[in-house]
Amino acid sequence: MTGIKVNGEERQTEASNVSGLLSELGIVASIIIVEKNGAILTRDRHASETVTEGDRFELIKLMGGG
Amino acid sequence: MNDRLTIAGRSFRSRLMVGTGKFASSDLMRDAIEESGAEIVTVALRRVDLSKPDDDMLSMIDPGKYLLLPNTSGARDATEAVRLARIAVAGGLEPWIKLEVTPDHRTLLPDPVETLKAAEILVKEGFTVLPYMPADPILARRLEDAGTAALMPLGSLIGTGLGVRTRDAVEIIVDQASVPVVVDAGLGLPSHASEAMELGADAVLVNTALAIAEDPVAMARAFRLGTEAGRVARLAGPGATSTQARASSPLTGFLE
Repeated sequence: MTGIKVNGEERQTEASNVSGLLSELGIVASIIIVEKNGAILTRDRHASETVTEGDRFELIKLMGGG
Repeated sequence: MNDRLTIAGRSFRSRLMVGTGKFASSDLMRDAIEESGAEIVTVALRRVDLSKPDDDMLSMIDPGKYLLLPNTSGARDATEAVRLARIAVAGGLEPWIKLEVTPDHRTLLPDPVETLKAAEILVKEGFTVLPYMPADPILARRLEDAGTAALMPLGSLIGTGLGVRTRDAVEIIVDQASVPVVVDAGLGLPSHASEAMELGADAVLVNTALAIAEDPVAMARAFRLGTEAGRVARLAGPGATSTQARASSPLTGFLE
């Protein structure tokens, strides 16, 4: 298990890459944006980008807004 | 009538833009948007709620049918707004951004200095920038000089439904602008949308008035008609007003 932070919450994960993390969390939004340690990851990097101890993730999606 | 709205080289039939916030259900939102005839639909960017990972309200909106216009709501300064704009593009959206910098929670008024700063950065990065702004003609010029694709002066405070309280300033902005002017915020009734269009706005944006109506779908239709009525009236060229009565029936030939 790897200790990480997701949207400010401490979590343990078995995922080794970002795609794995998203499916572990059960996220199904059609558009999802990931920031890892403050840097934006483009979608094509989700599968290759690793998840390692201490990483901080921000997961962002589209919501209703004016 | 081939009267189209053109923003940054892209052409739209509808002059009504709608927001997606605060609808009671996804179905109502989808139906109201459909009924409004809008082609530009605004969305916000927020953290995923990890306790509701399968919540995807916006899956109801077909990105092939509408231009999804992300806003930078929640940004308190230029840095935060720029970050949100970059996040939107990373999510695969087109590089169009409704720039909102609203540091004051009580009024949600746009910060003119930070808005201009963010606009300058985003235009340089290739974004099509539509800034939500105070109805200030000098700021409008500065934003246009910075290369924004439109100007979005407020009618009244966000979500208040008070209508176009800024009409004198909006008229000046319309008169001097060479990019489309979109009156955004505070439109509570179709007559407000019509008024903004009669003043010469190129489009209007509405969200709360639809979302909180008893019947959002019917209100969406009313706003579509109000926006169209105001536009047609503007093009028709309203006659001058007068403080004196001017008879519309002949003042001769009365019966004895």
